Amino acid sequence: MGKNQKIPYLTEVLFYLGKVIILFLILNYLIAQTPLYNQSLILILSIFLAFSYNPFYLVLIVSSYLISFRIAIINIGEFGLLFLYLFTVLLNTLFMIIYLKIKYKFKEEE
Amino acid sequence: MITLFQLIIFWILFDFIYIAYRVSLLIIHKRKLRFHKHPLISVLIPAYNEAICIEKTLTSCINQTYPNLEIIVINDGSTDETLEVINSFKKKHKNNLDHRNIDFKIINQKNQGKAKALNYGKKYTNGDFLITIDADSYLNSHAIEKIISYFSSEDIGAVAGNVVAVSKHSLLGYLQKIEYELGIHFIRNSQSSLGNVIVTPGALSAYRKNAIKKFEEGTLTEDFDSSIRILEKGYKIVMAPDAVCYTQVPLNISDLIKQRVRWQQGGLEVFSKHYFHQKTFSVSLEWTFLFLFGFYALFSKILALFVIPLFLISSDYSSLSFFIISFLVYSLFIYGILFSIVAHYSHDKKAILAVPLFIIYYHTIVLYSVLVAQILAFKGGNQSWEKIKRYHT
Repeated sequence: MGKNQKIPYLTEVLFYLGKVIILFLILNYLIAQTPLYNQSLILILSIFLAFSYNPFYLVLIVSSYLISFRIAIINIGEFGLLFLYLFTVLLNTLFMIIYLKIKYKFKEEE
Repeated sequence: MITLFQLIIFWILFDFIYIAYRVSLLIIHKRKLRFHKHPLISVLIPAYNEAICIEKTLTSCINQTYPNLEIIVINDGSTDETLEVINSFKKKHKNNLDHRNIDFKIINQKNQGKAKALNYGKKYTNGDFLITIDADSYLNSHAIEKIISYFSSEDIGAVAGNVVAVSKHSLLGYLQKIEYELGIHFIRNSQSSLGNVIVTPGALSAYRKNAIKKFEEGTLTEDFDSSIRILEKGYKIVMAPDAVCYTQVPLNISDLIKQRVRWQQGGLEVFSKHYFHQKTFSVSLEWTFLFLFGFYALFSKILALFVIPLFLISSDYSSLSFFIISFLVYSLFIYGILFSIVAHYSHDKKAILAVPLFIIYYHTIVLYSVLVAQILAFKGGNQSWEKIKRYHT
């Protein structure tokens, strides 16, 4: 790294990490009051929520995660968290693809 | 709390399925048929501020062993001396161009980006086959002859060239060089066995003119976008490992991150654009594998970066050190396998020695770029055709 070089997009990344921490602290406090409390899931939720406060994305992911919380607590247990982790990554990708599809309105070939 | 060890188990799940799929395709790979005719080939070279390196690109084009060429250079509103360099090249090599019967056209347009430049240039083409070359890349003298020979049947819509990174004796350049080799010999070669090469690289690719109505516009990675469109039309895309093209790569971290962010963002856009389009079964399978294991599995690795601080905060140093050791052992093993495959095909045995450095490079620069691309995708604001620093090659 040369003397005059900066790491590109560092401000954006730091701002994003700040959002993750704030969301994590808030959600950790709120969900700790319920029987659904699970720190790993709250962290994952914070990471994905911090990408966007878009209501469409927010509603979908929160409802999905609430269902996932119950499944995790009742049936899956600790090991099942890994599969839930897989599920959340896929879910996030799918939401992002739909979101970008709507946002960019790509022109289709005639 | 998910433990860091569980994260590694999760990565193994991704990596092993993906490697097994790729290796099985490499084993069945057989493509021997060749096409030996010499139809007119139109070479398209879009250029934006490439004064420093375009002469070498053009020289490599006119020194091809292939006999029937027309060369079309599209100056995309360059603000440096690119146009002057192209004009003086044409004058300087007039005799050679006449002698070899090469029609050399120079076209100007205001700056509109690479895809529009290619489409504008395509209007002036007369050949049934198109070859696109980046203005910062140069070809091996047999490259065009070799790449065209892969159009052995009517269903082959495009052929991807073998892009070799010019490392210029820099460590960062060398790491990118072996990364490119990994992409060519491990991913594209295996995709080629079923004719499903997902990305035709901008640096060197050949297209059957009927297969590509226009180069796709509106995304940051027009080469990925256009090749997916060709596959959706039912054509096959294969790889030509012997059609070699040398390309410049960023030689500083800042430019490298910018380039990778653009690729990742472009990849996300192309996935969004084509995700719900109809594809053949084998293309859908390749698409799904690329999506799950090649493209998005990266993001699962980023999550570990978020979990590590929690272990530091909770002073659970034994778990953290266990994670780091497990991670290093696992990474050395997995990249050892991959680089052995690369060394086998590229005859570069010392690539295996670079595994530890490659692990650091990959898990910092590449993962950082994936994260940034995700953040920018939601933030909005498209990147333009951003320039990386060019060097004399």
